[in-house]
Amino acid sequence: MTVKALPLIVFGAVLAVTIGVTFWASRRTRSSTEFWAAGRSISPLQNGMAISGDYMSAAAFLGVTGLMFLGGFDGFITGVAAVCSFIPVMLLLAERMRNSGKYTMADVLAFRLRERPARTAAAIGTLFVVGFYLIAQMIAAGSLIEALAGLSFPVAVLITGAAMLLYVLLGGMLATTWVQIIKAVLLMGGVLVLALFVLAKFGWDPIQIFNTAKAKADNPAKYLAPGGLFTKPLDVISIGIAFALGTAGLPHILMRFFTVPTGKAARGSVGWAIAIIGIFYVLVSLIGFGSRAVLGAGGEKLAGDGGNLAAPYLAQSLGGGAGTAGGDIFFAVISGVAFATILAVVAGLVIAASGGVAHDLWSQVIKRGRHREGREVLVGKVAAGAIGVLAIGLALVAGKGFNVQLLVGLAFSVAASANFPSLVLALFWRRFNTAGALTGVAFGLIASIGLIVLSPPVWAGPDSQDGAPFPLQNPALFSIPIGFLGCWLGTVLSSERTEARHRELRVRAETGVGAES
Amino acid sequence: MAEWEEVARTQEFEALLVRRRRFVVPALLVWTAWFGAFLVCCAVARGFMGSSIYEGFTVGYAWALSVIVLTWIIGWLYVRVSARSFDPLAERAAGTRGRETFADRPVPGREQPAETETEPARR
Repeated sequence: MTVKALPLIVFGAVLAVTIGVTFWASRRTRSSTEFWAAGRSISPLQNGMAISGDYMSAAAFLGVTGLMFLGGFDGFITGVAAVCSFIPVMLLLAERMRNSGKYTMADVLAFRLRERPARTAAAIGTLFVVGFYLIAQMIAAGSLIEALAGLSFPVAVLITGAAMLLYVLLGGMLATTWVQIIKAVLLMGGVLVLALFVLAKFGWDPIQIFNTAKAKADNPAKYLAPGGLFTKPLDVISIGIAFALGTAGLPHILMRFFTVPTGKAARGSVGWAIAIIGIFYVLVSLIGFGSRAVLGAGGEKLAGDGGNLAAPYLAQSLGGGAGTAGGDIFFAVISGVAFATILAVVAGLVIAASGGVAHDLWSQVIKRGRHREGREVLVGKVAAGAIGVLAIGLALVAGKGFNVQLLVGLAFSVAASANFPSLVLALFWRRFNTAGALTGVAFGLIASIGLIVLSPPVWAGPDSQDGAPFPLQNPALFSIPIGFLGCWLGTVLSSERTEARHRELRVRAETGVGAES
Repeated sequence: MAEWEEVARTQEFEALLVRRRRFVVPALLVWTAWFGAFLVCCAVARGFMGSSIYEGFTVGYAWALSVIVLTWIIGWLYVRVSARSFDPLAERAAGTRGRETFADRPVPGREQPAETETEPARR
């Protein structure tokens, strides 16, 4: 693999800008509120862009384009589910989280339930989701940078990991937020230009794109219809539900609501995020069909496993083709956008994990809230460093052949099955109690991981497709009801009553009276 | 009485809960139905989803776009209704502490009780 100079120059520029922002932010990051919540100084539009930045991972841009390149319409379904997943986030969680928590998702549970067990459960849920997602992103980062710039997989993982740690350790949430905003602007700019190039090539007629793509597909009759990727009917339903409800349990997304001054600003930021992410996926759908229409079957080798490189090679082709100045520059720019995307997402994940370890487990569970203010940030930084190094190590051990989609699916499934039920029930179910939260998280977690192990992608055997005990690729269809069942079962089996605290939580969540300032 | 208990007793707080529920529950139902039907059709009605509305613009793609548009509409409506209706109620519920509660709202035929509590200014 030869090193490509142009993409490396663009990567360098992305690193220079983001590290510059980090140094600026480092002078404004001292207290816990500054480290985990950017001093609650972020505006709704900025936070909406940052939420979009956190949410639109490389899997969303390169992955969805690639899946549409390979499988046609089915590749777009997860994108649709991803956009509409912000409806439950907005209607049920955004303002209420901001009003009732401090830095982490666990704050909301701990408010009405017994502090230490509830916080421990929520922190475990947080760490599993963030852990799976972080390792997936690191592996994806390594193999993408290797393919785009010609750096070897371990070098690419180390560079990504080092930048991620630099943002978080020096600049905390403020730097992470601005890295997200820069990335969101770059990504939206990149997909807009790419989509416009695609449209221009086909005479500004989307119909032409669809029909050309269809004609060049391996199986033209099925390319624009569902069934190209998800052959079993229940697969598409399960994956759709995992994405639609998973967002409402992603700790790094929920954490963003604590960075704005008020509940109203939290709501407004989801409004912006819905607008941005919706436009993003509409553009990506054009790029996805466009990549098939432009690259055709000949592009399958270039696009690689999962079609992940379809977008940059589409850019190369639209810029004039391989070897031309235009083609090389466009390829490098889109690669740089993908690089910024990866950096921003991993930084957001690490800061969420450090909140779970330092604010939830160390300061509240172990120290029971008795510690000096500055200590919490110090422990948070140590935790972020340890988590970052661990993720880099695991990504290197797992290697570039590891199934990234599986890990992402698992992260969303745990988020939807373990975190989402207890969070929603803590806010809305009067009878809910500590035992319910514990069993809910445990049931959701065990069901997600257990069913994944029994499913075709993991189950070993000569015929894992048909021989696996659990037939679906994603467990969410079953693990989410199991998570809710766990919450209910634990609650009714325990005699603890938390109605009084729930009334107080409800006043705080609905009106913002008593919210952390 | 704790601050939150006084807020909880205001009629504005009750009205806030009721009105917000009246928006959120139907919105979630519409969302679930439209997106759920989309997923189910993707699973079992593949031919229908792949059929062309106009020259290769398929039912499935049109439906997918409509789900995104529906998400925009619900999000926009919620932001708008919140600003017009829910936020003023929440502010009044929080601000009327100690004054306008169910306990001392004027009852016809009875003297209005004198204001007894003097509250420090809220921050």
